[in-house]
Amino acid sequence: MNPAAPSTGNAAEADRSAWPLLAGERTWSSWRLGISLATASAATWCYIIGEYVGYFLGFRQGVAALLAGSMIGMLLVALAAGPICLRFGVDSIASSKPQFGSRGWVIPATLQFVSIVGWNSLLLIFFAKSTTQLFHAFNLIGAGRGAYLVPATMLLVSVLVFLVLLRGSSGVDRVAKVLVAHVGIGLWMLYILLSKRWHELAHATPRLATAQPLWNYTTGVEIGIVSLLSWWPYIGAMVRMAPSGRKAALPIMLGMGAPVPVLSAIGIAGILVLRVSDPSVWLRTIGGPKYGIVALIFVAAANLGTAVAGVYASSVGLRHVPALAQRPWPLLLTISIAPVAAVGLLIPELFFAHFGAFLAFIGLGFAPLCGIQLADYYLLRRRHISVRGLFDASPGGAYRYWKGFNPAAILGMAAGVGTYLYLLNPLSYASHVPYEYLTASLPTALAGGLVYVLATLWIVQPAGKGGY
Amino acid sequence: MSPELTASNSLCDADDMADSPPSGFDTELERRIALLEHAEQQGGDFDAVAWWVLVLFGIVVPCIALYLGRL
Repeated sequence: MNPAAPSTGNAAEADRSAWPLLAGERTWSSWRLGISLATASAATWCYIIGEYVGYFLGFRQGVAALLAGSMIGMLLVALAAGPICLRFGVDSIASSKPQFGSRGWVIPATLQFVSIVGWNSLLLIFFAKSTTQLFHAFNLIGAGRGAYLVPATMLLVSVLVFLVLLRGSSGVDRVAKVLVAHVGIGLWMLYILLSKRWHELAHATPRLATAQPLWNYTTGVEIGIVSLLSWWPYIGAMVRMAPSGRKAALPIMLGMGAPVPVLSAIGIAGILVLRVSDPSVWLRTIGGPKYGIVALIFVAAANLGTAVAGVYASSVGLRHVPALAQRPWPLLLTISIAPVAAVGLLIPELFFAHFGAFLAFIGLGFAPLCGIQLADYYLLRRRHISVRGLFDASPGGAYRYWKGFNPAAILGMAAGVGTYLYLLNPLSYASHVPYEYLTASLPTALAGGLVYVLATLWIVQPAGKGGY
Repeated sequence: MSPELTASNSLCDADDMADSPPSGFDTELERRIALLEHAEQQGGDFDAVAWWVLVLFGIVVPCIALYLGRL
């Protein structure tokens, strides 16, 4: 038997575990990877992202700022987590073990879990709200009955995601093949809005724009960067199915990076012209009930694909927890989905209203994480990684550091969080120089990486820790 | 050289490890790690072509977008 050619049983097991994938199991072509990534990234969060940009910028500037920020954010994530995931067929959490340690990975794992739960909650709440509004529009439910429809929709979608993912990543792939069509529908919706309301759009004034054009523009870029930093948890679980960086680079940048600014243009246009970013509302306003149904189908397709990818990534990440390493796959799915359902059932309005703070949390957490990974992989380790060390939590493991934690990574994260908080208040969006010139995320990544390098050179390497 | 051919060269080593994993890992995990410790069994890192793509879409396109947006 060829050891690199896995048996069907082992391949299926690896697919639902955090084990590294072998060459024979990493069969996704560039096209297949691109479709899966596009399905994961193109969701209705794009409208909310676009809505926030549309508060500060007009349509043309908003699209430009969001495009620039999104692609910069995508590059950061691709270079930070991508190489280790691609080389060893592991997920994003495993890629963080060389920096954070054989136990310290709980820091990025917590960020991943909170991030995915947050985004999936947002998506499913959005879908439930859209459904309710459409039911009201068609008089299918009476006044005041929508309160029941939102939690019912949440539960229904949660169960659907669970069932799809019982098959592991093949579930992600199957859903992606069908649901990627929604990207085309999104572009059609943008065309409708641009063609029918272009004059209004061109002269619309953003509601919350400040008197400083540069600050508004930078904030648009910042929203783009932090939005794409959210892809850190997702990217590993997807690109580990591809055989090489050459086959993954274009799908990452175009499949995962580009759909966000493109579809966010719908949200920018919607909020500027119609004061609402939900296409199932404004498309009905423009084109009547038929358009409203199309939009709702779009929302459902977009959000289901993303929720499936997110829950899969989150469940694979949970495999790193020793107590869950051998647990049944359905249990991990349940642990990943339950908090999403709980948020949607208990605090949907509260969560929805604080999307801006949630975005800033993403920047706070993932910008320094990316900076640390970049500095470690390219500068300190010169691309030398021990695959055994990624899974060896014993005292002699390569990434054991001190009791499993690397103080350099903790210091780097602290420096990054401090830098971000100084530059941009996540709640009030009050800022300090040089935010308007550099954004908050980029200096945060730089500070995190710089402190990590200095701490490694001064503390970790002299102690002979970390497998350097 | 295909990964499969290379893998077959280390068939005996990998099987020996699979019989008695020295690390305490699950047998299947140990087999995978043993294979992936050979560079030729790993996936490819970003090569020159990939870097061109990353720089084009991650740096050049954002610079152009930023310039056009400020006009």
